[in-house]
Amino acid sequence: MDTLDPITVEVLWTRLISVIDEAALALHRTSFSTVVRESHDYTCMVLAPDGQSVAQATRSIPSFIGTLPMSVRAFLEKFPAETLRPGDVIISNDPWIGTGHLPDLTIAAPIFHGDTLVGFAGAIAHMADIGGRRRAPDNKDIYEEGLQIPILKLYEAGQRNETLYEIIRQNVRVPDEVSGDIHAMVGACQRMSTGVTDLLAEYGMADLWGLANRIIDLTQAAMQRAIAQIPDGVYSSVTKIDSFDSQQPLEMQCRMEVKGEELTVDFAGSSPQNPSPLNSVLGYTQAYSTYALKCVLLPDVPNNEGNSRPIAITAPEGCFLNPAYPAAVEARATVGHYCTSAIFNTLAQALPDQVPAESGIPLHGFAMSGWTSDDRPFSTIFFFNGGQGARPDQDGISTLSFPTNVSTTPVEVLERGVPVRIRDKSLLPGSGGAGKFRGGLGQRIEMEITASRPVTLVVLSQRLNFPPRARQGGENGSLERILLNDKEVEGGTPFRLDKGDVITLELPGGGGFGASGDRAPVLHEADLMDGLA
Amino acid sequence: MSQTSCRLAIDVGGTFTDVVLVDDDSARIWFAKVLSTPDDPSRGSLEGAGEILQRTGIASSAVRDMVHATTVATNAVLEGKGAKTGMITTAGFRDALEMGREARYDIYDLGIRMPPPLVPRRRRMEVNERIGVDGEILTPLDEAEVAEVLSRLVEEAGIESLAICLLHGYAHPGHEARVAEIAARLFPDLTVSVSHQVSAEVREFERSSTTVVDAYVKPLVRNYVGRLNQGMADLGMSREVSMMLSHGGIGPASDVAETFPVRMIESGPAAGAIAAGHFAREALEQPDAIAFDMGGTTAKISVIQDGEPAITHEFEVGHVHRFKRGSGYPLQISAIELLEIGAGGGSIAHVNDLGLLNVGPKSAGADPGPVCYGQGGTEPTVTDGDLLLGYLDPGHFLGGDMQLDLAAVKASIEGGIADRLDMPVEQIAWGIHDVVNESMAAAIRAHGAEKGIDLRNFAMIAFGGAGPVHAYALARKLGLRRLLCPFGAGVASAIGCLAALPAVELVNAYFARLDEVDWSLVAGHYGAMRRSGEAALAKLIGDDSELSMQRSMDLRCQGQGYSVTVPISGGGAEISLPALYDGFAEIYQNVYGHRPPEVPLEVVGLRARVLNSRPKLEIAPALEAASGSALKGRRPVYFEASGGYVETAVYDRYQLPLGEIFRGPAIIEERETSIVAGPDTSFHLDPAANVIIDFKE
Repeated sequence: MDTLDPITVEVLWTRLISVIDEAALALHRTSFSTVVRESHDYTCMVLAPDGQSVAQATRSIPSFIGTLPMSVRAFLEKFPAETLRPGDVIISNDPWIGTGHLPDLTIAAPIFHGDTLVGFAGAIAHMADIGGRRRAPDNKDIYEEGLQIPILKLYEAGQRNETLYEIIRQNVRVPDEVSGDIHAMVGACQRMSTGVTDLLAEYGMADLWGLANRIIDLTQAAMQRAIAQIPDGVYSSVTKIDSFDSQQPLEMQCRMEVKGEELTVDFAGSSPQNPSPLNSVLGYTQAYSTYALKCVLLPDVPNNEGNSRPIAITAPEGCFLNPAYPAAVEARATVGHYCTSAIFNTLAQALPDQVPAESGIPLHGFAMSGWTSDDRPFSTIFFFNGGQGARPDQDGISTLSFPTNVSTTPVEVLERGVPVRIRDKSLLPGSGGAGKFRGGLGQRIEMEITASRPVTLVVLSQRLNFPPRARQGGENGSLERILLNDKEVEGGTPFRLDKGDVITLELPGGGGFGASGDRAPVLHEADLMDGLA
Repeated sequence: MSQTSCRLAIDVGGTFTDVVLVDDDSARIWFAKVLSTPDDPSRGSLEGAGEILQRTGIASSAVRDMVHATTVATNAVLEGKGAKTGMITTAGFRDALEMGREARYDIYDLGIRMPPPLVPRRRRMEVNERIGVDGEILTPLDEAEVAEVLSRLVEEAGIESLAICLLHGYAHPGHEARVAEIAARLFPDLTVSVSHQVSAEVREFERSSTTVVDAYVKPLVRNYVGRLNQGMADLGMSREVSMMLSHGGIGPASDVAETFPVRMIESGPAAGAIAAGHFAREALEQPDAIAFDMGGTTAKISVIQDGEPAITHEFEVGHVHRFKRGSGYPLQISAIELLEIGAGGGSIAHVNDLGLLNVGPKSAGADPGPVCYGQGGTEPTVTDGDLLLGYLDPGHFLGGDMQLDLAAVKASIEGGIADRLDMPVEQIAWGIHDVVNESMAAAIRAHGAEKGIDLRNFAMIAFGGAGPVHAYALARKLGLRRLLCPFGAGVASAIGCLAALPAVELVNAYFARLDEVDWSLVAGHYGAMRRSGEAALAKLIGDDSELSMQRSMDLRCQGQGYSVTVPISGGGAEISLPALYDGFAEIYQNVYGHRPPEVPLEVVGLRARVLNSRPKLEIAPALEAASGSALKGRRPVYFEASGGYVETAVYDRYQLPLGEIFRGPAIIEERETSIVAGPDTSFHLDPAANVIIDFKE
């Protein structure tokens, strides 16, 4: 088959995504890691033999779109294609060629159709533990963050590498759960391999190239057309975020150049890398920046290499958006999430009627450890979300996760497992920025410690100083506030809390869109009646 | 015919109300179809019942049961026509209903919309009270405040219905019950839904959502059931009406309306799936099947395993985005699991931004409908493609009542899609058929993956106007071996009403590590569940009936977030721990393809199904003796396996001789649809008048 017609491409593309979705669903349901489950912080993907991504699971978050192809290219450098055999599985958690921090394992398995290497099945999932000092804001380098797994074969022609396996198990706090998750990932890759070879056999195709090239080319062309709709020019913005030292905010300098069908983003001038885990490796910076662009420019086309081809994202080495080894990187999500803000803040100048206001990002919540009332040790993390930025045609949604997608833990479930009592979890009136369309509201959480022994609590905080920005004359969203026993405090360092202590979080609402004088009276009245304004 | 051997079923659909009467002694069955009366669906139901009784000459006193399926509750939610509802919550938690899960159902859509809360914030009131996770009373209920809040809700806000949902009420219902008592005393006319009665499950948002939907539909359902029961009594029927419930059991309609009507929200579709289960049990050696119902705008899929439709405990109603999970109101009820796909005969084909052929989700619906209807439709649809491929006969649509315009279809494709893709019209027609089938196949495969079943060993049961037309090619894509086009597919939901067993589903939140379970406590829970199930069923079928209880436990590996429902074998008080471990490992292996890791297990819920196994439904279709030739003629029909159009035999379904084996390719025409059988199949009519199509090995 030389060139595939537009109907066959559609049918095969649907089939390929369906094969990957099947594998991803199985991975999702068997995982032990709550981050996989609640935030869909995993992916499954089929890649071409050279590492280009061809199709990705529908439901997983897209931050890995750029990272898995990068990993497979690095795998191929160490293990050239001609040396690979059926049954091989390659693994690594190197942040610099992977997803930006150690808890994510990346694995890839070559897919053989007959004797031909036709592609790779890849999977990424966040492990329940990877050793090291978890989530410690004072980690100074990657050695403190856990076990580093270089590019190695986890399976060689179907035989498990027992040495590596035992080293991994010995270095994590919950070995059964981690090996269970690895098991699930390998299973997902097998499933994808079978699906791909079945498809090739059914349609009499020798390899994936014909389909892969069409999918990628069509997507690239669509992205190019979308970029061509943006007025040519250079746009720039500065986005500030809190560091763990309130006197030293981090700055994202974002310069975007649009020329015809090409778009480049450069983060030159952004803050240097810092001795805390608030660093995002370049691949992760690129992934979230590309995601933000895709949301505005091409939300309806399934993700693959074609999306990112017309887009170049750079950051000079040594800045916190492209740190050098061995920087600490575990909190890269916070930084990465703000890349979407930096892109929106910049793109809004070019497309003022299409880009929503900033949301009350990133994730907020508590990482907590200690002993339960019946003297069992516990360590847990749970999240709460701020409000969504107002959209050009409607209010922002209150308490909505963005740009990741993390469900909140129900209070009734939380109180069952963790020695706390939630005394209030309510919408925070007035937190959404006013405007023609109002920002979604943030929330207020009031939590009492009920453990009989002291607990250690880290507040995952942001936006204590820099509110979610409005657009087009709207008002900014509110700032975050942290109160300990009714007194305002700063996050950053861990708290040691006793029974009866009450910690309160007030989370930011989204920015407003348009002047509040233009707000429809009926919307305004509804807000008043509902006590939200 | 004995005096009371007849049973009647009425299924109210959007356009038609279907009525089926069966005589259990002779197994004879009669069908009727009357127009639905959306302003008051009970009217159409009573007309249909009257008509069939008159036509058959059966006395109303001979009718033992009347089972009813209706969309009255779903429609109230979809159309926003429920009662003005208020809500009482624990102080600090009135916004749980609106804040929801805080997650997005579409990760790229910045313009995402969420369903508006059915109770706006102004009618959600808080009271001071707090019960801890273990039932300790941290703050006593402020009863004076309850009275004050109630009078504000009723007298100032004018609510007609009230939802009560207090924190940890699923396990510790004391305060909720007290609030309900005060409401009943002060405002006896108010309908009240209490969370621990509606859905005794942990998770405050999902439980609130369920309780609020219940309260929202309750007044409406109560009035509807009242009118229906009165009407049936006027027709001379002595028994009260039974209602088809979402989980596929039936319950007394007045009881359902008075207690928790949210349980009947998927009444109609559940009945369809029950019918599919019935057909699978009767016609298939191994009754595992995919029930595939494709109509004008959507296709509905349910999975039948061992003759029973799959049950889900995560259900949603009123989707903002019709086909996206997470965009509706979640309901913590047991319901037959249905997958709805935006693909139907009216789905419109178009060339997308990438230059590829897409079908749907836009639909021409019934108005203007497909191009071939000649009612003003200009964009080619799935039905138009099917016509071009020869699957439909332009002169025999709806039994010849409607002429289809083939020339108009050709013209619409030539001028549009064929030009843009530079491909011949026939290939486009096949493309439309193939693309819509592939997207349905993808949805079915994902559904199978989520449930962890290998669908290739399943048969397909095809319903609906477009189901039998698409089932052959869809089954081929999925690698299935057998297709079943049942007799009576046009009134399947009504047949399902008669095949349903009286059953009650119960669930009890219970948390413990499996090796630390307090078994006497668990036995107590199951005992209480049995008593409450028996009490509910006694109202329906009398208290002398033989009842049994099936117990199961929701188990998971400690640390995982999804549980697996493991049946407890036997009915004795003893529960075998090794059997539970083995059962878990086996189901886990089947679902996920690998054995569970060696970690402790935990129990997260107890489930029970109390049911009565009354005599199964038997149907002996009153087949007219084949009076003519089954072969009606021949016409060119497109088959992928043949590489294009081939001269194909066309049969009249109603003239097919019993048992004789025919070879494909063939088209088998019936009044409402055509059955397509490809060149790689053979088919026959079975004794129950089902058309069975087998793929050649």
